[in-house]
Amino acid sequence: MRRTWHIVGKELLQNLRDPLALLFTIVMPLVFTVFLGFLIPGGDENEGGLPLAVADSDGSPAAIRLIEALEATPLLEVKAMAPAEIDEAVQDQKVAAGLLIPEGYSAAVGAGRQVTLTFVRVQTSSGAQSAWQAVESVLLGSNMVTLAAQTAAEQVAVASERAVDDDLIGAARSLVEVQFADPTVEVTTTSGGASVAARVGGFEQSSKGSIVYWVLFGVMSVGGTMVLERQRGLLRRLNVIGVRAREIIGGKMITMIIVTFVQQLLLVLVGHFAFGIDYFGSPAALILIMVSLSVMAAAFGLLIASVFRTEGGFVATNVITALLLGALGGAWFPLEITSPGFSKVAHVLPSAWLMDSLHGITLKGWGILDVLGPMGVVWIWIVVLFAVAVWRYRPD
Amino acid sequence: MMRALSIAWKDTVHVYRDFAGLAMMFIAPLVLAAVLGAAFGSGDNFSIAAAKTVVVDQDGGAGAGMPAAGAALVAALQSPDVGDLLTVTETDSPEAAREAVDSGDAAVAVIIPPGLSGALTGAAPAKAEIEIYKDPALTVGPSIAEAVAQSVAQSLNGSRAAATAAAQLAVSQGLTDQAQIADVAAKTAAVVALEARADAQITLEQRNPVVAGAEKEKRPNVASQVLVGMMLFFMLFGASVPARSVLDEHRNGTLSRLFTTPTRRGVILGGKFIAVFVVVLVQAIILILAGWLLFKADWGEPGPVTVLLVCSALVAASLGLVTVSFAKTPGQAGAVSSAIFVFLGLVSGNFTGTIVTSGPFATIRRVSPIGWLMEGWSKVLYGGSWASIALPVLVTLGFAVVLFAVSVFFFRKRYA
Amino acid sequence: MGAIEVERLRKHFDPPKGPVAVADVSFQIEEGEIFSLLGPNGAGKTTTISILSCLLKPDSGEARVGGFSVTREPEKVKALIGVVPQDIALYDDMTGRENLLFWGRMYGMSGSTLGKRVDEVLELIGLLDRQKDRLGKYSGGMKRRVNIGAALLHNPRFLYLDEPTVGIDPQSRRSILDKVKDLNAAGVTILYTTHYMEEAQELSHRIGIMDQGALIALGTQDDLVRLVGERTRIDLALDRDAEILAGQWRDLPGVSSISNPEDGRLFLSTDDANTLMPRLFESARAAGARITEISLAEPNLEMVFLHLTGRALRD
Repeated sequence: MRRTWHIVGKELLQNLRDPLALLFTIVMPLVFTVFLGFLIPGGDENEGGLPLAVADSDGSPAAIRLIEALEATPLLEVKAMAPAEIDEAVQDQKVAAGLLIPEGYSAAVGAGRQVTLTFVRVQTSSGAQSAWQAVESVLLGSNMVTLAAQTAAEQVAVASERAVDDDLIGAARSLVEVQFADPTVEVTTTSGGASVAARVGGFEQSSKGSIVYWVLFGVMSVGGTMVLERQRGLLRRLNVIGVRAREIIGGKMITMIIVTFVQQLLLVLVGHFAFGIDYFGSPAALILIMVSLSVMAAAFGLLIASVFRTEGGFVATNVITALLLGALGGAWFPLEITSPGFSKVAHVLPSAWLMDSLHGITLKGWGILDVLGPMGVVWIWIVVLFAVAVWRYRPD
Repeated sequence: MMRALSIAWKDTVHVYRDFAGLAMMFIAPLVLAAVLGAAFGSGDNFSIAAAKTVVVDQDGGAGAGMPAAGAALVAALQSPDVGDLLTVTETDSPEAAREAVDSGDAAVAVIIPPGLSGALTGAAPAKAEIEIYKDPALTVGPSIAEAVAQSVAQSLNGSRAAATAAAQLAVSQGLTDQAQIADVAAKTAAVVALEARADAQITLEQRNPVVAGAEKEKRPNVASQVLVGMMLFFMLFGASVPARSVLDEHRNGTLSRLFTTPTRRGVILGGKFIAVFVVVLVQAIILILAGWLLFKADWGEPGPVTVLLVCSALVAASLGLVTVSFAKTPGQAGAVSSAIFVFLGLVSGNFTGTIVTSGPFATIRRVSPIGWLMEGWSKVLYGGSWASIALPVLVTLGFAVVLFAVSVFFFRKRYA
Repeated sequence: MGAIEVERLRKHFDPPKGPVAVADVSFQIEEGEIFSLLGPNGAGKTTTISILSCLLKPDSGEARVGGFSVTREPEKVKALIGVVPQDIALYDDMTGRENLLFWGRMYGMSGSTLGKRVDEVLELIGLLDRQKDRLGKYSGGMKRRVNIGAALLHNPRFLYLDEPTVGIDPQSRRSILDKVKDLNAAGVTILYTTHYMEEAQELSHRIGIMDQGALIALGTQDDLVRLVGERTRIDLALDRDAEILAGQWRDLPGVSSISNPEDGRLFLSTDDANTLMPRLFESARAAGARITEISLAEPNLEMVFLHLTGRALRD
């Protein structure tokens, strides 16, 4: 056992002296967290609203009222634009989406005819989807006010034996708008967790995603060293002088666990204190998740280093594995926005369970008992990976 | 020139004999594109899993002539229109509904309060609150349920508002018979309730942007949009593999040996540059073909696609060379270039698709040649032609020239 | 005028604190000669060869190869020389033949001329039957042979070999030494660096001894050995206290020079072995030590080095 710890000491020393290890362990994950946190808007963080370009080809009071209703929505930031500019602005993603109000809008609305507005969007844009919902909501309200006013005016006209005219409709509209200002039925949203963000995006996603995704890069230095040591005959030398394989493997695993645990700790602290994510609701659960993640990353790193004989092979496989686990596990984007069945497939992988658990402790108040099940899946992976790694390990 | 081509050929063969390099260049982007394509739907449109929704209807009675408001909401949630998005089950109590969400059995619970209908039909002003109890880790499913609830609430409020307004309007028009006023109000509410379910007057229709030069909108499929980002990202890695050969040869002594031959250093480095460009270009062509065959990607007009391919290869080659030129060992080069490429991929939108990048992020994207390439490819995918890619092509060529010059400077300085 | 002329060559890495790798070295190599630079690791041999290969620029001094200046006419120099580097500078993932074809192209050869020449070189180095195997599968000795072959493709007038036999088996070493002699017999002028005295003795017409960047002796083997006179070399092994005894013997009359003991073994040179030997035994006995082995040898380059530097060639 003593030799194992000597190996750990040597590995940690090499790691500390390697500036690139620092780059991958600390710097890149932090950069990733901050950038993605700002890029993917969360519900509450999106105070400025999604930019929506609006081209009004009608210019009527009705169109102006519609635009004012859009401006009143906190989710949207309306930018006036000429119709010819909208497609390019949307294509270049300078705005989340564009809305074209056609000429004749007011006339159609006044005559009770149907009128269609054009919503210009890029399919892959999540901002566009949110803008669509916001615009639909405004139109719904607008439609309802118009319908209510028109119907009220018509019924009163029949009862009072007078014609329906603009004055009557206008009066009805005013009365309807007063009623809508204080509606009878309201919809409120609550949740069991601490956060009621309209959208889990922002730092809630990027912070946890970084923790899960970047641990595999955290093992790159130690795993790469193992490959180089094998190439240069250093592992064989250790073997010849009597150091057992389990001592070498143990030393390397422990080092990888320590390095990645420290990496996670830093990211958790930054997430908690800088971005306001409540990681410490259940410290025991958090520690279990972090330990499981570190051991999992170490098992992956050990397996890849055992299988691949060259530095290039190790780096390539490590990067690809990290990318796949990140993409499939919900580290890049929430799994709920994926297709039917994908989430089921993704939950074969340990990264998905780790992300679920992190969301659980920060958003749903999960405790250690709640994370035992998901961590059980992770530990099955760990046992299998470790077994294969040990089976494949050769000192030369 | 022949010697430069000999060096280029030697380096290219070396790349294709390296399984790890091939895996990064071809297997990784195709696998990731397949995975991400599967994540977001294999067809032309995005699709997501239906969210499990639990509803509790505590609303008891209906007013005369009005359907139960609670039942209307339940019917709306169970409507075929949202059948792909919500899977709805009913339960007995709010506690059971919340428990279902807390335990993860449902994404969202819709809790309809008692007296909802009464609040709407009562003479005195009253309030009723429909509660959406959501899983805090989820957003899409709950937001759909919330949108449906809001829509029904709007309709109910509309009926109530219409009835109240009609009554007030009737009084203002001189009607005094209370029974008549009540009848006007009731009829108004009924008509509104009925017509609210009919076609809306103002509708919304969506389309993709029409790119400059295209005659009409074109809708690229999901996989091709994802594959563009993956292709550009992995071309960077594809370039770094042969680019690192300079450092490998320096370590192995073959670079010094090359310098002892009559072949000039400029020719040696030029040969290596050619190898990097050829490797990356072949990689891009194979990925384009694979995208077309496997994912039915319609890349766009051949001319602009070819130009973008060549630009992408030039930019990737120049980025691969310049990142390697800062490094002293192959290991360092691998790590440094990986970090730079992941960062570039991040700010250029390779991983996240197009997200609104107004403000400072639009500026950051403009600093990245990959960001410009993403823009050019996006335009071509959406049906753009020469005019729409002119600026991205010019800018990326400028980037490539500058980056090549920087790498030449550093290489010359080191191996003078 | 020699075929290779080196005049007051100087190279100082990272001045002022860095090492002076080559300190005002001057020598000439005649056409058709085998000239060896002999010296321990770090003596400056590889740096000298690097300058003559146009890989490094000297800080001062001049070197001319075949009449061309290494600093002003490097391309012309490179066309005349073949360089066999100390490390195996070849491509492991290419076959033996592919390696040779590539290097031939780097020397400006092509087509059937190149193909024929590669066949000749493969036969010369005895690897015709293994030409299609990747270099990664070759033994160390085979790789060394290809390493040499790659420098011969363009029929160079001058061949530099930088410690070509390091780390290989005796058979391969023998083969390389024989090849060097054959090439010289065919007219190639050879610059050979080594720290093995036997190789320098066997191969060279003339030898330059380098130590710590300086050329401390130059001449034929007879010329160099004459520097140490008629001195005899006595090799000894002691069972204990070798360091103490070496210190005492350094001052003994008759001892010209003495090496540092290594595992109880040392050697010394003397003009009068018969008188000295009893004194050695006596002082060993007085110190309570035993001389377990003793042998006498004629003067050689090792003794020359020891005489000139006070250290063994292998120290």
